[in-house]
Amino acid sequence: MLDNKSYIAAYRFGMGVNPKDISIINKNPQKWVLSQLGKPMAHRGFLSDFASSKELGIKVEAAAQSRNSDQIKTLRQEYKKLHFEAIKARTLFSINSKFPVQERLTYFWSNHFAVSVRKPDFYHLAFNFEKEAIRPNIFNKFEDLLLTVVAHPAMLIYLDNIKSTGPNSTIGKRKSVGLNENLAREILELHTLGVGGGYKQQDVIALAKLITGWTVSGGEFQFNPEMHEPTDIEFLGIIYKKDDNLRGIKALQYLARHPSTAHFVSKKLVRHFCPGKEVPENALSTIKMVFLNSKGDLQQVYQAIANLKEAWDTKRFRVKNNQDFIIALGKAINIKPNIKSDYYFNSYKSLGEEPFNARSPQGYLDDDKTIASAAIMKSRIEMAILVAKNFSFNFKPTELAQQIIGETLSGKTKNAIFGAQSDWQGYSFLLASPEFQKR
Amino acid sequence: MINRRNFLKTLAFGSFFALAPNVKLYSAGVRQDKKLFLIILRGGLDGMAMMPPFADINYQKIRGDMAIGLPGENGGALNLDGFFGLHPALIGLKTLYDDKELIMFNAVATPYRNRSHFAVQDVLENGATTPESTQDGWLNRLVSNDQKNSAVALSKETPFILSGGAKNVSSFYPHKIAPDTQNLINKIADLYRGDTLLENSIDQFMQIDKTAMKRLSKDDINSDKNSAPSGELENLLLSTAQLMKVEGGANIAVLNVGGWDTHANQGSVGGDLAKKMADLSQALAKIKIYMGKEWKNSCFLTVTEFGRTFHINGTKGTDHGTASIAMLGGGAVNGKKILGTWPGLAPTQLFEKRDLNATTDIRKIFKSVISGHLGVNQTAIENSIFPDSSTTGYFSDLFH
Repeated sequence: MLDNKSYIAAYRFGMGVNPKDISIINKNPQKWVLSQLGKPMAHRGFLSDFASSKELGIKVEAAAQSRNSDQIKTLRQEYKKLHFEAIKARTLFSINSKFPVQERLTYFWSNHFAVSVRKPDFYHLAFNFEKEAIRPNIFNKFEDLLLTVVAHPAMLIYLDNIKSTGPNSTIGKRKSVGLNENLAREILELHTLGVGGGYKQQDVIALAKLITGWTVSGGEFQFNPEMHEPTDIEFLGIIYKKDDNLRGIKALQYLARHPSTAHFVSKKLVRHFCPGKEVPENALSTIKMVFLNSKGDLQQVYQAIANLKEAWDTKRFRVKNNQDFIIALGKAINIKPNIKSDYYFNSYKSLGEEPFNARSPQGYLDDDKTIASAAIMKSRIEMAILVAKNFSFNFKPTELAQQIIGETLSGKTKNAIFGAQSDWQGYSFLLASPEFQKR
Repeated sequence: MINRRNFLKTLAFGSFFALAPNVKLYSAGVRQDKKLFLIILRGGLDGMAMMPPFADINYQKIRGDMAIGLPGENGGALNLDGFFGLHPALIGLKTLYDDKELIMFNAVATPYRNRSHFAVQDVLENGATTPESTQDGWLNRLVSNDQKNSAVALSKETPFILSGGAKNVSSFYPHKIAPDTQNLINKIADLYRGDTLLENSIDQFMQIDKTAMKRLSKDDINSDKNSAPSGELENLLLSTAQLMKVEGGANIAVLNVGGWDTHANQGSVGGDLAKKMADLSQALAKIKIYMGKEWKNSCFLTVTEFGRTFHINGTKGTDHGTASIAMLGGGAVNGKKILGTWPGLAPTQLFEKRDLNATTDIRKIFKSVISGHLGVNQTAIENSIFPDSSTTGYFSDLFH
């Protein structure tokens, strides 16, 4: 039976319970979590059969240059298909991962640095962005993660930096094109300092200038000096000289190490792992301190979070978001890919919050009320019933309940499962129960 | 898994919902007399693209070949009042205007000067003057204060504007309900009694589940092809109309339409933005058909969090700006007017030398609609729904 603390370890820190993992988690739930914060594994073998953003990007550039509208259309459809294959593979990867805590951390950063396939011609980039920029960096310093993210073709394209040109640059003057502030604004507002974190409109413009020329060619990052603004630039009170080739990188490093960033990022992390209406102040101070003192060493930050007593609260809970729910469900039923399970992997569409499909660069809100709206709860319950009816299980409902929820089960839920008129109704009660909706 | 396009194709009018006995959506006493569709255009709509001030010389000069030309020219504006026009693709809206069922507002913005989407959307929805300054949205406070109203969001997530303690608020996204699971769902819902995190959401969707949607009577709709809903927004509006016409159904609906954040290649007469605006115009015009006899008691209000820069940026688009337009349409509306004061587009007239300046506080429009159309008490408006807004005043004469 899964005990109370193990429930927390499995769902709040991990991505769910596969019955075969119970004894390992129960032995020492906290140690189980901490043991996953050592070696980075989230990128190993991840979508290894899929082509890279570079390979796919080269084809896009070729098609665009050919101006052959049939070719472009065909490629678009091909990439859309590829994207949905990738989502399926990604879901399976998370379901089967032996390092589910790292999966959770990956999804956290993937949402923090959200990109979206609502952008036209972006299907080949979204899943590759997570694979190439996020997963390999979750155990590095925040500034490494930030730099890789900003310089990745996906982010440069998503937020229009590829066309942003310094007004005084060679190309700027020749073609009278200019700055596009989009990426710079979102770096400040969403990725680092946060709104009210101490920047002004002039700093948005300054940062935009500092990263002019950060563009994409041959499917990968390329610095184009002819687009770069050739003047000294003052950003957040510091002057970056025009001859300093590394100034874009330095500006991002400065942002990564800024106390407002420590606060903004720590708050999001603590919110993610600690239940309660308000973000617990003490927990936030602790994590912020670790962030600052370690200069953004994420491994140390995670270890500190795994040691927060607020994160191990067994009386209060957060609500699973749709991704959490789908993956936890997959683990509970030990799902395998086949024609029948295709429905399952497309279920993001009916639940909402499809991966890489947020309305804005802000990503999906990590807030219980937003996550558990009436429409979403209804869809989840319907999905739970559909799964209960259509999939086979290795254990009887009451037994499975003990394994995947265990001590945290309420009397009411236990009775409902036990008293169910048939097995599928028993599984329905279990998978649609409030306990299975939470973490 | 049914693919979405096929699913939508198989829908006839009103076939979203299973037939069941006529049961009330909310407790008795929800008003039937006044309906409001609140449509939030998220991303920052370029008001000048939708309602070009074609007669403004600065507009023609600065927007250059991305400006909409004079009425009568090829691709020119549809004339409204000799100064403003509508983008040439917005035929549905032009018809509403000419039929005196549409009011356009120019140079409108929230009271919060900022260009971050989520900060200003927060202000749009919290009804205050700064972001993150309330725990609830203003529409939630409205239905709390005036309980004969009830509101529904046509989205999976509850938007902040509807968040808060009021019970007569729900979110609903239409899809087919399998009849044989309803009984089981009822029993599952029982497990959530007393669950502080989730009980409210469960209650809300259970309420809607008990509702029947009558198929739209053939009298209400033109059976001509042009009325059939096409596309996601029109289907959503049709479902909304159905929800609003049921006895005891919601009388206020909130819909979100995204995709207005046109930083690059926004186009002008043609192009991406023109297409989106055309789809919106067509969809809004169909509300009249979907509401049928209830159109005379209904109105829609479109708002956006901010407008866009007056100057075109380096990538043939526009960046975040300040003032934009709002549109109020409906059978209840005393239309064929353009309200608000045009501040002009000369360099000294622009906000921070880049944006159309705002001369109408968007709260004035919200307050005028809820007071004039829904009859919400003005004391409640000033004290609770839109606190600290006393300077805005009200528009008069928006409704019959």
